[in-house]
Amino acid sequence: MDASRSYVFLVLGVCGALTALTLTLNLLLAASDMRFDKNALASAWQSKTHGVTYAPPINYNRPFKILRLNDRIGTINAVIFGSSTTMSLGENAFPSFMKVYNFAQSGEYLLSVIGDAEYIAQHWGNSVKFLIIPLDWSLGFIYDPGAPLTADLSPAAIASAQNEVGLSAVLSRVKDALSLPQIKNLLGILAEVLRSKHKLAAFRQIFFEPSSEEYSCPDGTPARDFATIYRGLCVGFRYDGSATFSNERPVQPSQQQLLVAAAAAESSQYSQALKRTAGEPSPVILSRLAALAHRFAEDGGKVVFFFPPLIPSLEQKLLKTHYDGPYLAHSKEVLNQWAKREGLVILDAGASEQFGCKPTEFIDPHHALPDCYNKVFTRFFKAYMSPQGVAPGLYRAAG
Amino acid sequence: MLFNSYEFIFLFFPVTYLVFFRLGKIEHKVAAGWLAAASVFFYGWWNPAYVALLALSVLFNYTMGLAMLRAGAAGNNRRKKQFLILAIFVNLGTLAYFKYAHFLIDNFDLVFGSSLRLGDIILPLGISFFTFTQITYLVDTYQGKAKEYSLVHYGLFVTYFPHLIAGPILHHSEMMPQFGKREVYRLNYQDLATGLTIFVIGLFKKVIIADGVGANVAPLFDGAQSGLAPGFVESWCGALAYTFQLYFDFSGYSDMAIGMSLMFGIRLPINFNSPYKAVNIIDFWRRWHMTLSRFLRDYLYIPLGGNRKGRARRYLNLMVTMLLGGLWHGAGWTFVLWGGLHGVYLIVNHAWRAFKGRVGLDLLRSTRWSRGLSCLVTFAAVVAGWVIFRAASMEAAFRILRGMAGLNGFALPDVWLPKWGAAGQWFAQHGVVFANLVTLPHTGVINWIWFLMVAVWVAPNSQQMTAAFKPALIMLQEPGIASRWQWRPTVFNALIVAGVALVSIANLSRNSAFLYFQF
Repeated sequence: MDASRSYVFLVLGVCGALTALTLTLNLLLAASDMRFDKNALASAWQSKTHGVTYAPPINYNRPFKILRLNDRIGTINAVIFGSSTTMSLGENAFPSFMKVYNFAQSGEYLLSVIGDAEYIAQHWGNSVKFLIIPLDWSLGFIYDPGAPLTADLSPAAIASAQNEVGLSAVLSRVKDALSLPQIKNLLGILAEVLRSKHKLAAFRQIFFEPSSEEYSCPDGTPARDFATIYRGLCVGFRYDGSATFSNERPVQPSQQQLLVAAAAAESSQYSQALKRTAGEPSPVILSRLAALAHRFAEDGGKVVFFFPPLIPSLEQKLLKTHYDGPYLAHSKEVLNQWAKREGLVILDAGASEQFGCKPTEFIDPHHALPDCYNKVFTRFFKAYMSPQGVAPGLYRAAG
Repeated sequence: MLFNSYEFIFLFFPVTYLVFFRLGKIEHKVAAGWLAAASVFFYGWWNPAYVALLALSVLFNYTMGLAMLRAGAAGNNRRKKQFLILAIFVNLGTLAYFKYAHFLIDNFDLVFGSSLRLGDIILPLGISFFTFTQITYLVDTYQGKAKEYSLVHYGLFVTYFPHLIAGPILHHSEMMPQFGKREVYRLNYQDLATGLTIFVIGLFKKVIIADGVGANVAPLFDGAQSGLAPGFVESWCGALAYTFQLYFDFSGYSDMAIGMSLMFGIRLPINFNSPYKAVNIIDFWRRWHMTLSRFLRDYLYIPLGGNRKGRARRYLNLMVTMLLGGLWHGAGWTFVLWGGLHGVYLIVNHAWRAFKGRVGLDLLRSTRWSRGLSCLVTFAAVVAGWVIFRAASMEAAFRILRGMAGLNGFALPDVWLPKWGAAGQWFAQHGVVFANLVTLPHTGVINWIWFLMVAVWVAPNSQQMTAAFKPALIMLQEPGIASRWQWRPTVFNALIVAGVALVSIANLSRNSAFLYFQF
C-alpha cells in the first residue's frame, strides 16, 4: 500500500509540476498580450511604417482591422469584406484608381459582413465608392438563417469588444496554454532564449515586452511581431489589409487530386450546408444585400459581389455529384436570377481554373493566394470598366 | 465531455473523485447519489436536452423492474411477462426512432418511390449502450436474477459515467453488489495507482496512437467515395490504418473507463483482450468488444435457440445475431453487410470445426506455425470487414477491396524512388511502378503500421500487465506474461507513466471524439 501511495504521489507530482510550469510560462506570455493594448500598438506601428504585422490572437483580428480601417479610411475608396477566404485579396488585384483596404476577418460570416457594409455605406459613403462582398456558398454563409447584425466600426466600440474578449479569453487561454502548438512554441522560445548571448534580456523581451524588434520580410517590407508565435516569419496583414499567409504552405501539385476528392466527398464541409438547405439562399440576406446595393448606388457607389475561387476542378466535380450537384446548380440559378432582377453583378470565380488559377495558388480547397485573386479580379475589372460593362447576373470567365 | 478533454481531466474527474470520497466518509448513499448526479451532469454537458431522455429512460425501466418484481412476488407470471414485453418494446422503439428512423424511411422511399421526409433527429449519445444495459436488467429481473429496489443505486448503475457513453455494457448483477460494499467508499491507494496507470495507458492509446494513425484513414475512404480507384499499396495502408485506429480508439476508451472506475474502487468487465491475436473468428469475437459479444450471446443467440436445435438452426441463429449486431453499430447497409460477413465467417469457422471433429482431428492441437498462419488469415479477414464497416457506401468499400485484391494495379509511392537510391532504380528498371499515390498522402503511415502490427501481436495488453492487481471483473484465462511486462508501483514505472501522461496531455488539444460514440 505504501508503494502504491508513493507511486500515485510521484505520478501526480511530476505531471502536476511540469504542467504547472508550462501553464505559468504560457500564461505569462498570454498576460503580456493582455497587459499591453497590442491592437493599438500594432496599428500605430503599421500606420507609421506601412509594414506587416498583426495583434494576437491571430484568429481574432476584428479590433485590429477596425483600427486600421479607421486609420486608412481617408485614403481609400474600396473595401473588401469576408472571412479568411478573402484575406489574401490585396490592392494589386484592382485597377490603379481603386485604393483598397481588405477588411476581411477570421470567421466573418455574411450576416456580419452586411452589418459592416451598411455601417460603411452610412458613415463613409462619400469617400468609399466600392464594396467588394463575397457570397460564400462553400462555407454556407449565404444560407445562414437569421437577420444581419448591426455593426459599430468606431474605435470606441473596440474597447468594449476587447473587454468582452478579454473575459471570455481567460478560460480559453488557460486551456490553450496547455495545447501542443503552445507547448512547441514555448519550447522554441526557451531554446531561442538559451541560444541568445544575453539570456536574461532575451527572456525579458519575450515574456515582458510587447513586441519583437523590427525586421525585414523577403520583399523588403518591414515587419514587427506583436505575438509570440510565428516570430520572424512575416505573418500578419499588409498595409492594404491583405494577409501574407506566410506560415502556410501552398498546395503541392501532387496533392490536388486528393484534396479535390476529399472536398467533393459527401461528408465534406462543402457539402454540408448545401445538403442542409437544399441550396436555397436566405431570402433575408438577399433582400438586405439588394437594399444595400441600391442605396449605395444612389450615393454613386458600386457593390461588387463575388463567389470566391475554389481550387481548380472542385466546383465542376461538386456540380457533377448527385448529392450536391443539383443543390449547387439551384443556388447559382437563384442568385443569377436575383442579380438580374436587381441589376447587380456577381463575379463567379468558383471554377477558378477558367480564370487561369493553379492548384499551387491555394493553401487549401477554398483559400486562394494573391496570384489567383489577381487573375480573377484583373480579368473581371477589365470587362467591368470597359465601355460595354458587364451585364447583370453571373459573370464567368467564359462569358 | 470527452474523457480526453481538459475539462474532464483537470476539472470534472478530480472534483467528482474528491467529493465522492469526502461524502463517502459521511454517508454512503449520499456519495452514491453524488456520483449519479455527477454522471448526469457529465451526460448533459453535450446536450442538456437529452438529459430528460436519459432520466425518463431510467425512471421508466426502474418502474418496469419494480412492477415485474411485484408481479413475480404476487405469483402473476403472465403480468410479469406483459411488463417485460412492454418495456422491451418501448426501449427498442425509442432506439429505433432515434437511430433507425431515417434509415427506414430512406429505404421505404427507395422501394416504393415515395418521398417521405423526417425532420432532423439528433442521435442521443450512448443511447445504444444505455438501452442495452437496461434491457439486460429487465430480462434479468424477469428471470429472477436481479432485484433492485433503490432508485439511487439503479440510477447510478445506468448512468455511471465511466461506462455511460460507450460501454462496457454492464450486468446489473456484477455492479450492484459493488455499490453496496463499504470498501468502495474508502480511498484505496492500490486501486488508485492501478486505475491511474490503466487510465494513462488508455489516454495514450487514444490521443497518440488512434488519433495519430487515424489521420491516414480519411484520404483512402474519401477518395474511394468520390470515385478514385486506389491501388494495392494505398488500399492496404488505409485499411490497416483504420484497423489500428478503431482498435486503439475503442480499447483506449475502455481502458480509460476501467481505470477510472477502478480509481473509485469499482471494477468493470474487460472489453478487449488483444483481439488481433485471435487465431480464428470465434476467438476474435471472444476478444473484441467482449461485453457486446456477451450481450448478443446471452440475450439474442441463446434465446433464439443457440446451438441446441441442430446445425442448420445454429448457423441461422449465428447469422441473425451477427446481422443484428451489425445493425446495432449503425443505421446503414454497410453495417448490415459487415455483420453478415462476420456471420458467414463464424459459420465457416464452426463448420470447419465440425468437419475436423468428424474426421477425428484434434481441435486443440496446433504448432507455432499453424497458429501464426491462423492469426494472419483471421487478421486479414477482419481487416476486410473493417473496410466495409468504415466505408460510406458499398461502392466505396468494393473499390477499396478490389484495390486490396490487386485489381486496381500495384504502384509504390514515387517519393520512395529517390530515397531507395540504386535499389529504387533497379526496381524501376525491372517493372516496379513508382507513382503519385493520391490516396496515400503520407507515406509515414507505413511506420505506424509495422510498429502497431508488432505491438498488437507481441505486446501484452493493459489487463495482462496489471493482472496481479485484479483491475477488472472478468480476468483473463490465459498463461501469464513475462515478468518484465508486469506492472508494479515502482519509481521507474511512475516516471514512465508520468511521461506518457504528459505526452498525452500535450496532445489533448486535438480533442477528437471517440469513434464508438457514434454507435
